[in-house]
This record gives sequence, structure tokens and C-alpha cells, in this order.
Amino acid sequence: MSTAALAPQLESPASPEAADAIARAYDEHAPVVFRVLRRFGVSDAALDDAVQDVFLVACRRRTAFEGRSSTRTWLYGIARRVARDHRLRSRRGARETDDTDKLHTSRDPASITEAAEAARLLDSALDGMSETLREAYVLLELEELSAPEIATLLDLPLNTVYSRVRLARQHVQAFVRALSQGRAR
Amino acid sequence: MSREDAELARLVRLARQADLPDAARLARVRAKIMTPTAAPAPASNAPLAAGKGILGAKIVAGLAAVGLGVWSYTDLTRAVPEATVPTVAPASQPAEAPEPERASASALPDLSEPQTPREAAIKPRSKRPRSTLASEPSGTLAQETALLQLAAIELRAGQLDRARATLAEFVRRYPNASLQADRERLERRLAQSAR
Repeated sequence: MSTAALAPQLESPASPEAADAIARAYDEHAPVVFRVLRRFGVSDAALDDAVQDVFLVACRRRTAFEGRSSTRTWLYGIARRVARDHRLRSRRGARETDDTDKLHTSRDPASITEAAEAARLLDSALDGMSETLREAYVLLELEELSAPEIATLLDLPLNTVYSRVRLARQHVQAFVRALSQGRAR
Repeated sequence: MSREDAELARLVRLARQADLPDAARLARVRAKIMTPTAAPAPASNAPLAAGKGILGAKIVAGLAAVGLGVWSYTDLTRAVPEATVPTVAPASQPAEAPEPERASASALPDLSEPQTPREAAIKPRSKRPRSTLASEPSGTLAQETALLQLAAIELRAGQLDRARATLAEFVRRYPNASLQADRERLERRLAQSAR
């Protein structure tokens, strides 16, 4: 969905035009919003509500969307703040070890288990980071935004983004190294 | 690429897949968003920038004095080393949502429009006479939050006396406030800062 198509049509969830626009935006971007909210630390129990919050805020804040970024990047910005509020409101427990019911059912059980385990390990690595490093790492490595996009999204100098990503990578690399050497948990 | 880098790349690739929701979950959340009764106008902190009403104007003045923008009350009460001046949309508060856990008192309402249909019917904000603001034992969530946000701003800016006065005003205005726990938390932080 183009940004021009999205912004003017999101008037309210109640109008047919707005409902259609939200539906299209959701169909295109919801999976990524789910993923980035998880990576930003929202618990699985709060994830559905957080995703709903993101799209409802997007509807309400359409006039604030100036089109300087893509719709996806704009949603990342909203998701970032929704995730922060959810984390602060709820105690973030340990990530569920069994995520098989959350994954695409079309995948074979072995690959589902492998992916869930990888996600768990990455979560462990991310848990040891500060929020600022985590955000930069998630947006660049997992969501594959460019550094300039992240700089715009987080309102940071470009060099700060590079610095944070570098530090985050070092942290994750150290974690993986320890894992390989059998010292990780 | 080293073995560790390759392993890391593999982990990242797998993790990206693991966090994608299944079709049933996507459909469930989609239905919640598209259902009109489940998607009322959520509250936000945007009115702080609009500065409407007495408390809104006070908050705006407080913001201008310390050069801060506000995202959410919870953002202000966090011990964050760097100042945050968010430029994008704030989080929403699901007003009158079916799930009781979503009607959290720590979520922030919208000051520029009624938070819920009930509040819109009872207290049309634009028509409320100013004289009633100080006379209610418990304000609306928006009023209470706005005053606590001002205290939080002042606290973060190191203006302890002003924060103390603002919290005292909160107690005076809203002796039966619903955000007592938040006020108490701010007062504890104020006491810690004063030591």
C-alpha cells in the first residue's frame, strides 16, 4: 500500500473507506508488526493487544504522517512506542519455550522447533542489551531497515545508529561465541 | 565469514521466521481491529501538544520550560538517562474495551477529545466551565494524568520544589484520584531525588 493511499483514507475505523484502508494496511504489514513487537520485548500474552494498538494509533495519527518515510517505517515507530508502554505496564516474564502454536502451520515440525529455538537464543542475547542497542539491532538486522531509515525513525544522528548497531553486534557475537563454547545458558 | 558469524546469521534468519504469526492469529487480531465496538477512538497523549484546556495549557507551558516533548506518562517516570523527544504517534489507550486488563490506569487518555462515549456524554470537555476543574474530588483520567505528567517533567528537569508543589496540587484537587499509585510512585522518586 502506498503511503499516499494510506494516509488520507484512515479517517476512523467506523467509515467504510477507513475500514478498507486499515484492512489493507493490516494485511500488508501485520506480520512484520507482530515480529517487531516481539523483538522489542512485548510478551506473547500482550502481543495481540499491542498489534491492535499499533493499527488503531496509525488510524488516529494519520494526519501526523507526513510521508517522509515508508508506511512500514512509520508503523515501526508506532510499534516501538507501543512496545515500550506494554513493557512498562506488564511484567515481562520469560519467553515461552513452546511457540509451535504461534508459527505457520504449513512448516514441518522440525523447522518450527529449530526456528523457535533460534528465536529463544536470540531473545536471550537481546535481553542482555540496553533498550537503545536492542532497538537499533532489531531494526537493522531483523527488520532490515537501512541505517538512514533508522536514524530518521529514532531521531538520531546516523553515526549514532552505526555506533549502536556495532555495539549490539559485538554483544550478540559474544553471546554466540559463548554459546558455541558451551558456556551460554 | 567466520563460523560464529555464520551461526549468528543462521540464528537471525530463523528467528525472523519464528516471530511471524500464524494465519489464525492474524485473522483474530484483524477481526478485533475491524469490529467497530472494539475500535473506539483510543486515547493518546497528543493533546499535550495541542494545549487545550487549563491543564493542557499548563502542561504545554511546563514542556516548553524544560524543553521536553512528551510521549507518555510512563515514559516520563522511567529512569531514562537520555532525554526522549518522540516525534511519532503515542501509544493508544483502549477506552471501554471488553478486556478489563486493557483499561489500565497507567495508559494515557486523549485530552483533546473524550476518552470514552460515557465521558463524552457526561463531560463534554469544550463546554466544561473552568471553575469545576478544581472542585472534583477525583478528576477524569485525563486531568489526573496531565497533572502527574507535569510533576514528572519537573522532576526529570530537577525542579524538585515545583514537582513537590504540583503533587500537592494533585492531592488537593483529586483526593480520591484513581491514579493514587502513580502519584505515590512519583513522590517516592521525588523523595529519592531530594536526598
